Amino acid sequence: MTQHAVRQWIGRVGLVAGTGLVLVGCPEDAIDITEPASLPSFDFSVASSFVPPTGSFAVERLTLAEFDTTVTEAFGRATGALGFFNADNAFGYPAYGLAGLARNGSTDPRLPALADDDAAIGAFCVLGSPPFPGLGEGFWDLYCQVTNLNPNTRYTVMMVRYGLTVNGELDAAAVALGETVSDPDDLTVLGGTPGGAPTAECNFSVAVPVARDVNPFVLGFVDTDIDGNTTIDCVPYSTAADATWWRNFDSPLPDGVEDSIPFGPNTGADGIDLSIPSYNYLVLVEGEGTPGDPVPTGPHAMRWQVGNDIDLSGNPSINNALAPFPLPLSTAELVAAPGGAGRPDSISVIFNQLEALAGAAVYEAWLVNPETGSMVPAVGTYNRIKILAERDPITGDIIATRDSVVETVASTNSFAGGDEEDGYRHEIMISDNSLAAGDTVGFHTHLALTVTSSPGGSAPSDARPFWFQFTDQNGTPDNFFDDSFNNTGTTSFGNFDVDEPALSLIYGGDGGGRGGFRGDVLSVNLESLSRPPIGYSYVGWLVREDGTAFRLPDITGPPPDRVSLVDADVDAIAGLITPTGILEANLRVVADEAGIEFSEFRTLLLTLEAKAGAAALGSIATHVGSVPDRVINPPDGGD
Amino acid sequence: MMNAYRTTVATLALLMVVAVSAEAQERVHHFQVAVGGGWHSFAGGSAVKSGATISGEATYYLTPSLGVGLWTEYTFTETDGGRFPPAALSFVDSTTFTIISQPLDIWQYGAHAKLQMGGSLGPFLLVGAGGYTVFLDPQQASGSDVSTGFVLRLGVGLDLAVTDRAGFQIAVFDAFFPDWSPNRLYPVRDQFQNTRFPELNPDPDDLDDSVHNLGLTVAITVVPGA
Repeated sequence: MTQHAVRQWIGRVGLVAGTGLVLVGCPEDAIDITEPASLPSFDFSVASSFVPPTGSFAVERLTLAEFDTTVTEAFGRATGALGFFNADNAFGYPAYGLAGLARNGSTDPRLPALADDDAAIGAFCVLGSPPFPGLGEGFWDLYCQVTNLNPNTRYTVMMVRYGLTVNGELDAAAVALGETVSDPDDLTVLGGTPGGAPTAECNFSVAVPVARDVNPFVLGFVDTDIDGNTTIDCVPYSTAADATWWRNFDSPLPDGVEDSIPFGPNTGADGIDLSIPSYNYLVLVEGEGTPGDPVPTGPHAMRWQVGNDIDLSGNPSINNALAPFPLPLSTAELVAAPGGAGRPDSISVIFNQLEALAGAAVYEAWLVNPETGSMVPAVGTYNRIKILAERDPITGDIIATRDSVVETVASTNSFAGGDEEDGYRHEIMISDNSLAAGDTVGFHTHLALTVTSSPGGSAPSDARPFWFQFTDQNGTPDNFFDDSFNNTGTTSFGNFDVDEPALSLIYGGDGGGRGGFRGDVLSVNLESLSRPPIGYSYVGWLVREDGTAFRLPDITGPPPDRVSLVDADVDAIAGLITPTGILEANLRVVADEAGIEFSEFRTLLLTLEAKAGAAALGSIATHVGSVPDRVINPPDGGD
Repeated sequence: MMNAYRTTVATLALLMVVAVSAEAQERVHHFQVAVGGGWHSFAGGSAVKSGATISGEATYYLTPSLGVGLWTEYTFTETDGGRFPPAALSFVDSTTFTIISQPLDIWQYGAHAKLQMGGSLGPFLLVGAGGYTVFLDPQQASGSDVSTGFVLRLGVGLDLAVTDRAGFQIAVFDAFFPDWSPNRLYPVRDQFQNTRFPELNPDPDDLDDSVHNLGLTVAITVVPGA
């Protein structure tokens, strides 16, 4: 072999070897994942039983500071022309409901005096429109059971258009205010000529025609039994020729209300005139009239005011003289009326799901008025209430519960809590007497329950998770006339803004995620969680079948940074925490490091825990997931 | 795949050994046209698997040692799904983690200069530039299924003349993609990406925005009109 040939072969071998090296050196470094293709996992969603922790409150008592009867319709009793006409009666037919309108001598002091102080309505009392008696077009039916009249006595039933003479203070206003009437007003038959059927018995056997210009309009008589009871069953009817009462047999509602109904409007001083044959009273008079003198001279026993009073000129100009003649109104009704000015002087609230706080931390109640900036400790009487359960002796099911006050502390606005799981509720009752001298519940509009580790401060802490509004001052804190009250309601849960309550953030309980197990690792991804109220943090728990729980490591943001979200209630982390929520979060635990076995557990819970609370599982569970059966009963002893 | 690749290249190498005894081609003021195929190995950080390539080029020789021309190359491959987080597909009580790859073609094209040395092996140096176009599976791509970029090409090779008009060419080259964007090759939508167990995910830092890819082509060369 020549030298040239040797070089040629060396070159050839080198070429082949170089090519081989090039090929061997080609990268094939894709990451090889050897994990199982399928891992146990579970949905982690809002607990079906989740409701934000709520309490209930009540305005226990109102104080009437002033009542101005000069306010138009100061008692707010106008009902309108058809206010008493409805199908809400024992028979379910369209009719005037008269049962609540009847007054006797003890409830209506006006003249003519009512002689019977005990007369009362029995089971029913209506004036039914034509569909009610079913006799045809134009036929009405006064059907009324009256009790406690004189026994074995005849009474005449009549409809009357009265004019009212006010003597001194209007009796209606005085009675509504609970005052004694010393100079009764006078009711005087106004206009028309007495007529009707004084000798007809009101037993559904005689129809009495309605006529123009008849006043009083006598419908007939009834006799009481030996016990003084009777049933009125009069049938007035209007004809197409001379009467204007509503005559339609098919439709339950009258047309042309103003001039086609038996009783006049009840719209008050600005209402329309009352023209016969519309009347404003139904009266029961002892005795029987005659055709020549239809109205008996006996004492008046009972009176129904159905339309508003008119003056002696026939005008509805008397303020507050609306039907029915009032009974004394409650303080709450008077305060709520347009003429009333008042304020709450006592409120109470019961809180649930308040986990026990640790150390010196307490819940503190504060009264707040954002419109005046007032914030004072809501000092009152605190009751710790234990819920006692009565169980069925056979099934063990709870069949009833009973509250038992196990601790009472006077003159305090703070308590340590203890959650409902332990069977406790927490009540605080605040009144003017329990507040500092010169202060009153009524100067405030909201109550806030705060969480603080520094009790006794001069202002409520920033953690104000519970609150409710009991008064709306309509922007005029100095004017109590336009206030309105929430007499009962439920507390809100979230962040209470003491300056702008409308900006308070209600905790929504939103979001969810999915968790999974991989060997000894549990990892749960969460998205779009509602932001915890200030003072609260999300905590994950693995719960055993017996209810005991293992607290997971602190909640974090997503990997790789895993920023702690323990302070997500106050921290602002761009891209992770918004003013109203947490965009992404993660719960993660390694079983070996934690010293637990996943197979022990059945449920994963996410709870809201007060940061100042005890370390135990709290009662505000927001999200829940079930540990997969594959983890509880691993087919091969473990994944 | 690797065995077939090596066998093919070894056979071609043997052909070269036979061919080097022929005279060099006469190319000056002529075009040399090369048509062939080979293998393209993409850098790991590109998240593209290696794939077969067909190639072609036309070089006009200004002098015996300098030519200029155009080149093109089309590679059939797929994305390297293992470079991305696996898809997490959740069912009632389980989640399946799956590596998702998708078919991928890369078309490269450009111009080059060729510095040719004499002798029967005809070693040469290629310096080129141009562009690439990536074609993704339109049914899987979450965004546009076509994207383009810039490529620099540096290669060495041998022109092995069998006759004065025909021969073989073998070339090894580096295709540098300076503006590569590997994340566009990840077809899994956000909600299906594994974030629950991040330890299953490859290190995202292993993906590169500029990659050097290694190619090997073997071609038949013809010099028309020589």
